Amino acid sequence: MKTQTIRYVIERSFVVACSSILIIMIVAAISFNHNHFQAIRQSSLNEIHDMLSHLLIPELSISNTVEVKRLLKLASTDGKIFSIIDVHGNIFIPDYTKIKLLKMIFHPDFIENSCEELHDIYKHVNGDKYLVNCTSLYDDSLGGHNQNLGALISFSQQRWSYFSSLMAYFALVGFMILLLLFMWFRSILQKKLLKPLLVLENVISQSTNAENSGVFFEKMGIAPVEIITIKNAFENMMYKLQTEHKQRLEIEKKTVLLELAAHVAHDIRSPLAVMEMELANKKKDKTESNHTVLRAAIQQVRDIANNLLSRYRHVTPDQEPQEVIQDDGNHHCSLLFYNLLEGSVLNKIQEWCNDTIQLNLHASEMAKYFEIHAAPAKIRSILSNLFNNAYEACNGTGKIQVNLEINNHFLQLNILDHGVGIPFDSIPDVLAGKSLKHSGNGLGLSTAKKYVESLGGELSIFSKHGEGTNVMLSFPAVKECKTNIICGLEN
Amino acid sequence: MAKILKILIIICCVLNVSTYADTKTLRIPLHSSAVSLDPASAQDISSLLVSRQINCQLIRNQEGVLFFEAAQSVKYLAPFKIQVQIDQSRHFSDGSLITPEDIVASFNYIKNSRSSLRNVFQWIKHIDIVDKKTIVLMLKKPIPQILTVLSAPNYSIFKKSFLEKAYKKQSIWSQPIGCGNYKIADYTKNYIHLLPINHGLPIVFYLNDSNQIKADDMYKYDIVSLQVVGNASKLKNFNTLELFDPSQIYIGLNSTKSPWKKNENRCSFLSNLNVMSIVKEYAGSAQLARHFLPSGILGYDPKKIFMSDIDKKYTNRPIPKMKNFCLAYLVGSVPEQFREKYLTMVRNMYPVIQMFPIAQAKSFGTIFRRRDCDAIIFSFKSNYFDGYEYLDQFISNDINASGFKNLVLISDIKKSQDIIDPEARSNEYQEIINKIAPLCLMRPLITVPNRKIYVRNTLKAPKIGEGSFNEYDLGVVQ
Repeated sequence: MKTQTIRYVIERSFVVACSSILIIMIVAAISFNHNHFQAIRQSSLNEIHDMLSHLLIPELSISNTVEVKRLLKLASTDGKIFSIIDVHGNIFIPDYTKIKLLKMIFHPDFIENSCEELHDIYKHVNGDKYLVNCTSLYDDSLGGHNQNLGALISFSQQRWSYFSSLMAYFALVGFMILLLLFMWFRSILQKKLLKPLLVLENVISQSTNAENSGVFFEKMGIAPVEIITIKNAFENMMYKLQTEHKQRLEIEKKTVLLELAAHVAHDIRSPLAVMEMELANKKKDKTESNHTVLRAAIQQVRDIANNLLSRYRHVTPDQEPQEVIQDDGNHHCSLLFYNLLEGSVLNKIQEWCNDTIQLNLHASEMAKYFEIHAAPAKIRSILSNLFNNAYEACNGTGKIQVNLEINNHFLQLNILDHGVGIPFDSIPDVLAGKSLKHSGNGLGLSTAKKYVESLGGELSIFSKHGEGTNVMLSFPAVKECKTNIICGLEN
Repeated sequence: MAKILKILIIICCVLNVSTYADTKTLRIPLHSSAVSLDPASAQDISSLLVSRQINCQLIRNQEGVLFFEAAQSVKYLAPFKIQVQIDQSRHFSDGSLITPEDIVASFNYIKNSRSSLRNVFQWIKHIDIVDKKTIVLMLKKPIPQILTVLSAPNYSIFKKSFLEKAYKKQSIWSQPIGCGNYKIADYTKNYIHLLPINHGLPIVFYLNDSNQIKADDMYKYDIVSLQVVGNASKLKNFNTLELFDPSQIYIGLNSTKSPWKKNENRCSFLSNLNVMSIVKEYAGSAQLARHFLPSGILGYDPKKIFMSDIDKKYTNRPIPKMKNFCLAYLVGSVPEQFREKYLTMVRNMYPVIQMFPIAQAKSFGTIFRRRDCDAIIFSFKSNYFDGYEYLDQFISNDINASGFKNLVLISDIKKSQDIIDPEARSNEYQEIINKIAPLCLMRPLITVPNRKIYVRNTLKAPKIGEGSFNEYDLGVVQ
């Protein structure tokens, strides 16, 4: 859509209006001038006819041709030609080259009564227009007996009127008056319409500073009711938008906190179960290995708490809610993935020692020595969740096979169970965070997937309903660790 | 190839000649029998047209408006004392300046030589030379119309030395030393060749025996003022102007010869003429003359018909019996194609008739009477639309065809010129005409109100229609 500023529209309208008015004034002035001259010409022509008739009649009555021709010649000025056709058909005309024209305008068969019909009339001859006048010449002197002497005929070609000073004054004064009126109108438009509109436009275009709009609106001055209405509507709309914005921020903040709490609740279930079981076995067996398991479970709960605290410290109320995965609260570092995996498997074996389920870990020799760059607590949490999922799918019996191998600079982890499996259609939902175990959102798989992907890896599920599930994770291998030192693990 | 070249050369020559003829020289036919450059003679319009080009006057008249020619200024020192200053920029054709002596000599020549139109000399007492460029006209009494009369084309100025020779040798009038825009380069029996002095195209006046030319011959000319007969389509390259330039044709009787010495014989002859047959012959270009003067001439009375009372009395009265009738005619007045009609008009009254042409307009009256003819057809035309020019025939013996001489009438005509008021003068003319009518000396036959001028349409002839053609300055034609 072609757009134009209102200032441009007003300026252009002003120029167009002024030009139009100027043209109209000139046309009106020319027309006025033409009519004025026409009237003057006809009036003066009639006067000349009267005067010339009075002078000619005595001369014509005595056939004083010299004087008659002299008077006709004197009167024939400014394009007008005066001539006489006497009762004998003699033609007296100052310029006899015009006699043919005279005969075309005035039929040579002079009829006594036809003269008066030719009064201020126009005749077209050879495409030219002539103003024709005729006056019968009667000798009404004492001895004249009202004798007809002939006719005085004048004809003048109609030319476009002369340019008169009157016309110029008319056009100039008229134009000046209209110009002033337009200037005044333009000034009103500028002051009353354009200026408030520009202020309004400025405020709307800088709507982020809408809270300062009051200062701008003061610059409007006196504005039309319509613009004030628009201004009020805008202010009202801006107030509503700001209120709604604040409410949305509050809601989003609460949602983030709620999600965080759910994560915490989800993550601490496993270490809490370990600790619960260990407390139950405390009296039976007080071996070092049991202490180690308990310490690991406590460490896991502490990690979760630290993570939560770290997030709390980083998320300020003013900040937009951020992806939890992106800001994991722990320091990333290079770690020997196999050690972390082995620890998690041992934890789970310890956790499920009363069950019939088998958790087997197989790692290729190469894979054992490759590091990844990640947060150890997060990896532990993800592995724990994935093992728990496999355990739940197997309903506490059967076999869970964990394989780690290096494949093209990627550490590839497969967690294979022979549990109930996931329906094919539900896999996208599961990856999107939907729980199959209960209504609402599940947190394990989707959180794991997001995190792995944030590290540059992948998480994919291969499952067949009723036969089992293979969760495959791949992590980019950072480097091969020669010292067999586990980083990131305090214990 | 040679043939083509020849044809091309011929075409180029023809084109060149025709271009030369069209643009380099004005070719004008004139009636040769009447051309006279001597202002003392009665000049017809052909003579006046040539004179207009080679001569100058103190004052000229164009459509009633006077303008100076040889005069630089005219000042009334008193009502009867007019000072004229001579224009020092104007020269004679031999290059000499116009002097007061030349003007005085010119006036004296006209006064001494011309028998007609002498009214000016009745008014001028004498001419005083004040200095090398100033003269003073001393009038016998105040005459307001004197400048108008002086502006008529009858008062040309010539070099004094030339006039002194002209008194002795008339033939030198073929090479007059005038002060106009042209000088005569060649004057032969067949043509007069004029060359411009300052500006204008060269002019060749071709002299015709006839006063009419055939339409087929129009291609030879550029401006024609003669009557044209024949196919009108030949005139397509000409613009036709109809100038109001009235002339009237009269029939006059020789009152010095029997039986016309008797008034009643003259009246019965003139009253029984069948003029309408001639009017018809002119086919609209002429009207039946009603008055002694043509309409448009001062003194014309539209309310009166000339000789109406005589006609009432003498129509159908027996005309005097004669064995032979001699009808003379002035060649320049009667076009060839109409002569037979005039003859027929009289032959109906006198079957045995002979015609006698008179070419010399200057003294046609004297020649007519000497020839002892019975009647004469002649015409008069006025140069300044004044009845005096028609009445002057009764004063001047040379043009007085009737031979009637009445001193009272002559006195009345001369006195009429002293009347200043045109209306009073017109009334006086009518009084004189009323006295002439019962004498049955002559009667007007037809009036030719307009003169046709044909101008080649490739020419620019400004103001050609503004006055009489014989007063037209051909130097402005381009």
